[in-house]
Amino acid sequence: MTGSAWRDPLEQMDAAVLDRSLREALDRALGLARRKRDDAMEELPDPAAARRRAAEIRRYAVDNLGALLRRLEDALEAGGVRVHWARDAAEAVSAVCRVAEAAGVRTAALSKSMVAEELGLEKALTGAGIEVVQTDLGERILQLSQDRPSHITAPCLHLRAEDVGRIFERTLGTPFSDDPERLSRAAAADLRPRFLSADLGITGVNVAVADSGTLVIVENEGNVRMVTTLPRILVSVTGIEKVVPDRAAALDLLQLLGRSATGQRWPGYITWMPPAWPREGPRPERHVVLVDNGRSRVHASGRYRSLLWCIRCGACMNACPVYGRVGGHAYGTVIPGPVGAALSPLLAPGPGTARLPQASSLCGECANICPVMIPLHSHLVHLRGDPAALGGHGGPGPRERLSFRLWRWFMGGRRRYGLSLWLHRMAERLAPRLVGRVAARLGWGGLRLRPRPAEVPFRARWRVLSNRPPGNGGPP
Amino acid sequence: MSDARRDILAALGTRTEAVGDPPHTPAPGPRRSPHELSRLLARRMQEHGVGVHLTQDHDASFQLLADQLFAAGVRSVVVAEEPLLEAIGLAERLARALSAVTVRRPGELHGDAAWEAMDAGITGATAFWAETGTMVLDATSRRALLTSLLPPWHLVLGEGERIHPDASDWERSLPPGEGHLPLVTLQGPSRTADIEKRLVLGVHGPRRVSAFIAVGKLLDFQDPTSDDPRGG
Repeated sequence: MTGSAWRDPLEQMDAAVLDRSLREALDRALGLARRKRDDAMEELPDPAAARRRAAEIRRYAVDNLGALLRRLEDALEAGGVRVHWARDAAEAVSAVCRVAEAAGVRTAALSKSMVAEELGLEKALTGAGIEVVQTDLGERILQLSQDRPSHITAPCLHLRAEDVGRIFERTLGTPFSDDPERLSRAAAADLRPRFLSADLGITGVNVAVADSGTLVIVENEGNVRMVTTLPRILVSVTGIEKVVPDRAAALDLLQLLGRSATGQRWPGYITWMPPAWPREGPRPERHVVLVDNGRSRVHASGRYRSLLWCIRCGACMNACPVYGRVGGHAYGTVIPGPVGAALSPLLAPGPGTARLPQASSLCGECANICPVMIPLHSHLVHLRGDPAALGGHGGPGPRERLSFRLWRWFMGGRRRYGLSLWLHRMAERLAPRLVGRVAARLGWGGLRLRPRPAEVPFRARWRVLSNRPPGNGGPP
Repeated sequence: MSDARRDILAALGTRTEAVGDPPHTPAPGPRRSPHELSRLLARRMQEHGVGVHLTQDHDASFQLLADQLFAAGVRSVVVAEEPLLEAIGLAERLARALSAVTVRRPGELHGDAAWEAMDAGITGATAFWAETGTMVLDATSRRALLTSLLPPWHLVLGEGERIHPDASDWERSLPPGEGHLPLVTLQGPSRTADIEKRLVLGVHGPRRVSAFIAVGKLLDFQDPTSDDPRGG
């Protein structure tokens, strides 16, 4: 996913957790996110029913993905939109570059798109000699500082206002400020002429409505509206899983998207772009790139298919205790957090992603908060023991395998279980430091306090208790 | 057929038609009276930073709108060519009422500089959703899109008959074949919270949004928002 030499995400997380400025930025940004989301959800007449309906819609769409994509393609092409299919990132990038080259594009305005990020589209277009400008404020800050997004809806969440002030001072020449309002205005003033002069607009897609070919794009700033209205060529890049059957289904999903992502009742702006967009006035030349890049493999996996239900709201990141301490960069993937830890190893199997399913406390909060009810914690557990799904990478190491073999043997009978308790008591009594070192080497004991074994084991106490009459300190 | 298309569709299975029906949106919740709906809409829109005015009729809307443009010292305004605004004769009436204000139609604005010079843009709204405080704009015309996007102040005119409880109710009210409508829904001013999640209004789109909704035909009405300091 990152395209660079892999680094163990768990080691990166160990480093990230010690980064004080990152912790400060995460605390500032995530502090109220959960409460805002909960308040917005509670305004719905029946939040649980809304989530169940959204899950049913996504299940239906993903289970019927091939048929709905055919329908979407027919609707788009009937309206004069050119559809490009891409098996992988290289094909998708090549399609966009071909469009740009054929039209003599010199400048491109890119609205925030996780798929474009996944494809490395900005870099590829820049390499083709096109001046590309990111138009979302957060993405623009990252472009100016040559940084990467750390959250899917708040890409520069890892930066403090003072960090942004220094970036603008260095790259835009604006006086230093740590006031978000002044910083936002400075970025908007810098971007305005670039919007107006861009030849090519590139958007992502939040929802693609199959029956009408309408592409639905969600935002708050107005940059998507600019990108879809001003340039003479418009390319929309989307993962194949974003399709839904009809507008009613899209509305049901969007009702939850804003609430889950930012605690908004409804996203600030939504652009509903049918093939004839706009009907009156000069119309841009339009292209849609449908990107697979591993998604059909997840679809075929059966067990993990529900990961394709994701609507990219980022709520699981806001709720995750691991993400809240290490931020998004440590994952090393475009999509971080719980859904990234489960989806990225399947989309891009390799040593760099195989250990991501370990990056979870398995508290289950991600599944509790997910608007489309993806059982994320369950997927993370299954992936830990499923090296085949991870392309042969990952899976338990020799120490973990040995540990679980021993555990299975000791748990296989009453006497063996009793023996394990006795051995544990003896080891803690005679060589507690050695036990500590072994626990640390096994991975879980390094940062945890070990519970001391009871002087009298529960089994022994129970034998005594069970012989007393009820009501006299005996069992009920 | 491209190789990529064939391979992707083959990997997704052989079915060419969807199986079963899409999950349906449930039946609507308890009905609210037009009075309750318009009040809920106004409250929601105010919470989103919109200066909202529920008026007796379009004449009252026009008067309030003209007063606000005058009070704000607006020097130039662009009025979209939309059926509702044409029926009211908004552009002509504004030009007569505000002699110091240059009133333009989008077709008269050529080039970026002309658009950048506009202090305010006026469009109609085709619908409102009360529960979410949402305005629905017709995006049929590129000129109307620019009118609602480029000037720093967006003023919206609407009618009380077009207030729906929510998006699903609006969807069910549309005649068949309206699935291809180009639309923009908006909640209020352009906004971002990308820096430390602190809210900033007016990034790329309008910083100020005002709405004037004529609801007098529906009810015996007094504007509950007229004394609101955020109005306008």
